[in-house]
Parts: sequence; structure tokens; C-alpha cells
Amino acid sequence: MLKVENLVKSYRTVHGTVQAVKKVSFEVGTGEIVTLLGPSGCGKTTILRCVAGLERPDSGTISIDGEPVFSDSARRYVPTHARPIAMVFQSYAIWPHMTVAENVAYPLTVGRNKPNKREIADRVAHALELVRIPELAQRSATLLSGGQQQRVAVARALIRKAKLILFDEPLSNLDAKLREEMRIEFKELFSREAVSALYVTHDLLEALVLSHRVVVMNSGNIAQSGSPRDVYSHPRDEFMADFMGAGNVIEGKVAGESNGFIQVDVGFGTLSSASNGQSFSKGQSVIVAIRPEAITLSGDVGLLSFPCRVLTDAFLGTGMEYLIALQEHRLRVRMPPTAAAFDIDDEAFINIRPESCVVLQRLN
Amino acid sequence: MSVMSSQESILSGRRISLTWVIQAAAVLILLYLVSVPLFMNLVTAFRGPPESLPLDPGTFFTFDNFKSIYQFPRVLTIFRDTFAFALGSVALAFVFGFTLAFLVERTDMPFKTVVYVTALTPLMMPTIVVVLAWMFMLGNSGGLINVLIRTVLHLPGTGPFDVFSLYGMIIIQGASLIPLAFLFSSSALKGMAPSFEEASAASGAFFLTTLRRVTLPVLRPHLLSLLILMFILSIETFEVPALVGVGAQRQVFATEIYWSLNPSIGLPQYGEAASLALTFLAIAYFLFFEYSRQMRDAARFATVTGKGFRPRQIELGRWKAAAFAFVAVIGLVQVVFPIVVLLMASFMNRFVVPFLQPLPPLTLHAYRDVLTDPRFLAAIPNTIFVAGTSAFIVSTVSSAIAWLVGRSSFPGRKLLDFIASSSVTVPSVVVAFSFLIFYLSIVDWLPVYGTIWILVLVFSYRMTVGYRINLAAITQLSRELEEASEASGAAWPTTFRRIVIPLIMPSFVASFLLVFFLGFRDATLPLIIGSRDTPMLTPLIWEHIQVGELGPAAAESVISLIIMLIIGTLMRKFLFGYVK
Ligand SMILES: Nc1ncnc2c1ncn2[C@@H]1O[C@H](COP(=O)(O)OP(=O)(O)OP(=O)(O)O)[C@@H](O)[C@H]1O
Ligand SMILES: [Mg+2]
Repeated sequence: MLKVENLVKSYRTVHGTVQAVKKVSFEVGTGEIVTLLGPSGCGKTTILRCVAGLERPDSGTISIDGEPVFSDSARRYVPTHARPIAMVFQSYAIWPHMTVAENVAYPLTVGRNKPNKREIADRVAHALELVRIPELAQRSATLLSGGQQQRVAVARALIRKAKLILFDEPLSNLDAKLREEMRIEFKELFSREAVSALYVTHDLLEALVLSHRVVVMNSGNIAQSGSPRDVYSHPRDEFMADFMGAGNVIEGKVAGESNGFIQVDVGFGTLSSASNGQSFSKGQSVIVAIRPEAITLSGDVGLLSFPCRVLTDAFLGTGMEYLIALQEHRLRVRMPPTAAAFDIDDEAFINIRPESCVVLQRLN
Repeated sequence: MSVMSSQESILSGRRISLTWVIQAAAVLILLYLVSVPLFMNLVTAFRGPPESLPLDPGTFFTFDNFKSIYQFPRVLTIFRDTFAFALGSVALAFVFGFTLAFLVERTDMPFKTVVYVTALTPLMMPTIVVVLAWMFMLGNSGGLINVLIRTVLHLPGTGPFDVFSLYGMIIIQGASLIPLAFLFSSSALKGMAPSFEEASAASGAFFLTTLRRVTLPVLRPHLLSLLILMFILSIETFEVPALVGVGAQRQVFATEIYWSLNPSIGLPQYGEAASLALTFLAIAYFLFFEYSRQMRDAARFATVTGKGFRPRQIELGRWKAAAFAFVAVIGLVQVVFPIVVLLMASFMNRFVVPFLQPLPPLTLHAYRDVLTDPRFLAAIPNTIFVAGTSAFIVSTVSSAIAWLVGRSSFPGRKLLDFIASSSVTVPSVVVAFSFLIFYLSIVDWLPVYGTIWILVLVFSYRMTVGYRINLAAITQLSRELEEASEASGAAWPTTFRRIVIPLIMPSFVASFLLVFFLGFRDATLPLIIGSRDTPMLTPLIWEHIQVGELGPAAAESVISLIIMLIIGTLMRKFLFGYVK
């Protein structure tokens, strides 16, 4: 549906050139939801705007549904209004001088072949139904809450039955609870309407819940892409591990390999870790990522446990989180609420499950 | 604990008394400057006989003044001419100003600096100088533009344009409003969230569709308020109809009031002028209410979002040349031609079109006459003094009032806001007339009439300009900036000195500069209220034009343009350097 190849985009500013996107390639298949995920300023919005035709890339090609809409080699640039897309903006961009229904009907009234009044009215009603606000049709657009504006924006994007829908952080202006509800609602809506979408977000959970495929960006490059499960459980490098919330990162050297696990010497001992299919040579400097929930804290010494001291404790509702000191390392440990509690300055032991540790390449 | 609270109450007590004094003074000055003369005008309108001042012995209450105004067809003619003139000017200024702004803000037009210079330079020219330049450009037989058109099209005789006509008035006034239309439109376009237009493009709309169905409607309140403001300025302008409209036999409110005060035969008709002024004022206030309503709508349509990046620019492609030609023509007519014709006229005592007509010899006659005229030599310091002093008064009072309205819970702040922001509504002619009768009536108690101080007072009337700028700045400043200072342990005087003053300084300076410029340009106020003992620049130019001495008028225009340029540059350097 969407094919982006070697996309490069830089901005010239008074302070010099900003390389916002550096040679990025990816695809969105028909009926597929692909999210662009990454920290602020990594170039997600820029890519989305290039696909929409709101920015002109420096080089590369973009084609939608087999039609090239941008290509620097073929000197081709299709303006936004002629691309088969629809877009939901971060600020929603609901026009204040129109009613809700007029806003939603707009895409049908500006194109080449306009449907007749009856059909427009029907499709507006249907679109508003899809986003569950049929009762707001005649409301002035200035009198809507954030969540309602968001639904209007989505209805306006759906009504055109565009080949590809672009979303720029559509949920980021909503409060946490509403965001959670909308996530689920979106997922259901997307699969029912079989939309193909490119969805920008910086919210990890949103990307994991919504998408078929996640493309994680890091300062203008693609850091990793794959299914949500894949990128979550098999981060490829230090950046990915950190972004996926691995929590604890320890430096070490590869000591060897035994029954599928890499042995890493980390100073206070040796950790067995999964390799994610990557190969490492003996003596190589690596990173071991350990999720906080992969560590257990106990008062008794065990077979493979290390002595430590509790520094802080925090009640999270769903459990306890401790910060512990193990020699010069500080590790976060998350325990279920049923586990025994520890106090600050208690001496204790930690046990690390090898299958939950991941060895990663160091980023120079 | 008790020590703490007593200290606190001392601090807050001092804070109240300090601000109280400043604010009370500002309120009194505002009321005195703005309200009292208007009240005098109201009284005069209902006093007879018409040639008497309202407080003279032997005057009485009457409706006669209105009866003599509301005679057909006189009143109809005044309304018709005023409105035709104003509507035409507004339409012309809007089309050109908005197009220029759109080119700058929304397209990849090259040489944008040229557009800015083209659009804004006329601000530096006093209206009376602009009128003079247009007389040289559109003069029926020898005007530069007429001669050029005749030469290109091989037309015989005179014309095709005649500056002394309704459309001549409209062209001059419309052209002089283009800077305002440009500034207003471009700030409206800048303030609009780019995503409104982008969402339309992403819905499949071509840019003209987007302009028609999204950009213009979203900006409707902003643009309507611009139209109304320009309309108010057009009906109040005096120089254009007075110098050009008389030849065209057109009567507008502003000139009718002036001629009632300066009749060709007989005594000044104060009562008649006052009742004309009152009618005029009613129209202006009606428009002003409409303007305020649109501005409120504009605020409700709040279009600005956080993203600071420039919106996407339409690629002009092969239209680039056309766009540039458009700007070039405006630049020629607005900037290049006026300067050329004024320079030539000042050095040749009259104007001829170079290359097409034989040039008369260059002479410094006009400059020698002007520079040896003691009245002109006094007029320069007088004008700077009056414009500067009144700009200082306006900036000080209006920033204090803005503070009061924007920050305090002072009970009368709605009224203050109204008075301060509606002074723009009162036409210059009405202002001048009101001051005239007020200070003539009380000349025995307060002898400022005939001195330079009455000019300072009347020039300080224009509170609105300063007030708007300062209020905008103050309401944008988060109150937390002051609170943070107090929370850091600074007492109120320290907060005022270290936080408040530096924060409002830029807007104070901006309002000072603007009011100074407006004062320097103005001809109406000194013409009506000035006296022979206090010569000012613009009335001198006016006198020369009236008696047909165009050479000296051009020389004085050139000199005043140079002064304006020098002062403008100096003040910008000095004051903006200080602010930074
Ligand atoms: N119009 C512009 N002019 C100059 N620099 C820009 C412009 N737009 C984006 N940038 C820069 O390009 C980089 C990428 O910006 P982009 O908006 O794509 O980030 P993002 O991933 O969408 O971030 P966020 O999550 O904060 O929205 C940033 O460094 C940004 O400052
Ligand atoms: Mg973004």
C-alpha cells in the first residue's frame, strides 16, 4: 500500500541543517497498521508529513498503492490534495467555522467527483456512527471536548475511504484514562473497517496494542522494526532495550556459551543471558538488559544469588519496586504484592532468571 | 508567627498604596484627556446660537444645530460621499494588502524582503506627503502615471486619470491603508494553526478551495475587524478629502466639520460643527462596537497552537514571475514613484516626466526658501517635541491602565478598558474640534490655547494605540512570573523593578515609537488646533499646497521624510539596544 524507499529529509534553520530523516525505508501492506515509534524529535512526524506531501523530501521515493507520489530521480511530486490519503492531526485541526457534520463532510465536497447531497448525508451519518458521536452532528465545532474533537477528526479521515490513513499522535492530547479507552476502540475500528494506516506515536503501549508492525526510530534512522511481540521481547541493541523499558542495563564481557545461553562476566559474577539469535565472540564488550520483574529479592541466600542492600522502596499498587545496591551497580527490582516486604537498608539477596536477561551489542 | 503576619501586612499595605497612587493618577489623566473634551462637544451640539461657544453668556438650549445639518439633500450627499469613499478605499486596500500578506506567509515567493519594504515603507510617509506625491503622479495633464499610460497607448490630450475625483481619493486613501491591511492580514495568517489548512489539503482540496473554504472563513473575525478598522480610518481621514475631494466637489464628514469651523464667509459655526461631529461620532462608535464584537469572536476562534514551525509554502512554480510583477508594480507606485516625483519637484519647482519632456534646470530655490523660513525652522523642533512628549504620556498612562485592566480586580476596569480602547474611534477632526471648544471655553482659567501645550494634550488623546500594545503584552505575561519572584523572596518593589518593568519594557518602547510616528505624520490635529505662534511641519506643507507653491511643499516633504528616517533609525538602534 505504502512504500517508502531511502527517504532523506533535512531542514535548514538559522542554526544550520537538521538531518530529520536519514535514508529510511519501510512498507505498509494493505490492511496493515504500522506504527512509527520513537522518542521526541526522532523524525516520526517528518516522515508522516513527507508521505502526506506536506513536506518535500530531499531524496528517495514514496509510492502509495503502486503509484509513485514522490520520486527525486523521476522529478515527481504529487501535491497533498491529489494523494489518496486521509490524515488525523495531533491538534485535530477541527475547523471552528463549521459544524461537526460540515467538518466531516468536507473531504467529500472538495474532490473531483462529488457525491450527491443524499449520499453525503448518509456517509456523514455513518462515519459519525462509527466513532460513536451521531448526536453531535449539528454541534458547532468550537463547543467540543478534546475527546469529541478527536472522534470528529477520525470520522473526517474515514469518510473518504482513502487508501491510506495517516495519524500523528492522535491520542497524545487526551488524558490517560481516555487514551486507554480510545486505544481499544481504535483497534476494533481499524480491523472492522480494514484500514491501512501509518500511525505515529511516542507511546510504547499504544504502539504495541494497535499495530501489526512497529517501526522504531532513533534520531532519523530506523532502530528496529517487526511485530510488537518481536521488538518488545527481542530488542536488538542498547537503545532499543532502553526504549522498550528493559529497566536495568549492566556492562560486561562475553565469557563463553553454554546450552544456548551466553555467559557474561559482569564483575560481581557471571550472568547467563539469551542471545536473541545474534552471535558474539569471546571477550567482546556487551550489555546485559534485565527487566525489573526478572529479578527476585529474598532474605535467604540461594544457589545463584548475589548479596545486596535495599536503597529505596516504592509502593506501585500492582506491587513493590525496590532500588538495590549491588557493589557499584544500582538495579530496579519489581516484586508482586504478595511477596515479603523489605525495608530500607535491609541486607538481602537477588536472584536473576537467565531467560529474562538479554545480551545486546554495545552502541560504540 | 505573629511577627511574620505583621510584616506581611506591612508589605502588602505598602504595595497597595504604591500601586494605588500610580493607578489613580493614570485613571484621572485618562478621563481628563479623553472624556472631558467629548463631553464638551456634546454640550455644544445642543447650545445656540451656533456661532457661540457653549459657556458664553447668552447661550441657550436648542435643536437648531441638528435641524440645519439634517436638511435634504445636504445630509444625503455627505453620507453618500463619505461611504462611497470609505468603501472603495477599504476594498482596494484589502485586496492588495491581503494578497501581499498571502504571498509572504503562504508561498515560496522570492525576495520577501522586497515585499516587506514595499508594503511597509508608506507607513513612514505623512498622509499629506502621500497626497502631494499622488498629485504629481495622477495629475490630469502632467502626472507621471498619466503621461506613461498616454505614451504607451499613444493617447492624445490629457488623462486618462484625474486625481481630483472620487476614484482619485479612493486610490490615495486605499494605497495609504495597504500597510495596515498587510500587517493585520499577515499576523492573522501567521497566527493560524497550519494544520487547519493542511487538513484541508489532506482532504483533497486544491489551494484555492482551501483559501475560500478554510483560510478565509477561519480568519473571518480577524479580517472583518480589519475591514471595519480601515473603514473607521477612511471616514475619519481629513487630508485626502480636504486636498483632493474639494476639487472633485465631494463632501465627507471630516471636511464638512472643518468648513463649518473655517467658513469662507462669516463666523465659525461651532454648534453646527458640534452636531456634525456628534453624528459622525455615533457612526464611528457603532462601527467600533461591531469591531469589538469581531475581535471577541477572533479570540474565541483561537487559532494558535504550540508548534513554532512555519507552515507549508505553496510552490508558485510558473506563477512566480506574475507574483513578482505584482509586487514590483505596487513597489513602484507606493515607494519609488513618490520619492522620485517629490525629489524632482523639490529640485525643479515643478514636476515633469523625465525622458519624455524637456527637464527644467535644477535649482535650490525651494530649499533655500524653506530653510530660511523662520516658521519652518521652528516647526521641526516643535513637531518633534509635541510628538515625543505626547508619545511619552500615552505610553506611560496606557501601560498603567493596561496593567490595571489586565491584572487587577479594580471594579471600574470594564469602563477603563472601554474608554482607553475607544479613543481610536473618535475621528481626528472631532478630537481637534472638541479640544478647541473646550480650551477656548476655559481659556480664562487655563490659558493653554495658543501655546504648544494644547498640541501636546490633543496629541496625547490617542490612547488606544499604546493601550492595545501594552494590554496584549501584559495579558500574555503569565502572572506566575511575578508570583515566582515573590515566592523567591522578593518584595513587591523588587518584583516590580526586576521582573515587571523589564518584562513590559519592550511593549512600552514599541508603543512609544508607534505613537511618536503617528503624531509626527498627523496633519489634522495641528491644522485645526495649532496657531501661528506654534508652527508645525504638516500644516506648513498644507499651506503651500493650498496656495499652489508645490516646489516648497515638495522640499518640505523631502526634508520631513529624511527626518523621519533618521529618527526612526536612531530610535530603533538606541531603544532596542537598551531593551536587549
Ligand atoms: N519545519 C522544521 N524546521 C526545522 N526543523 C524541523 C522542522 N520540523 C521538524 N524539525 C526538526 O526535525 C527533527 C524531527 O522532527 P519531528 O517533528 O519529525 O520529530 P517527531 O519524531 O515527530 O517528534 P515528537 O514526538 O516530538 O513529535 C527535530 O529535530 C525537529 O526539531
Ligand atoms: Mg511529532
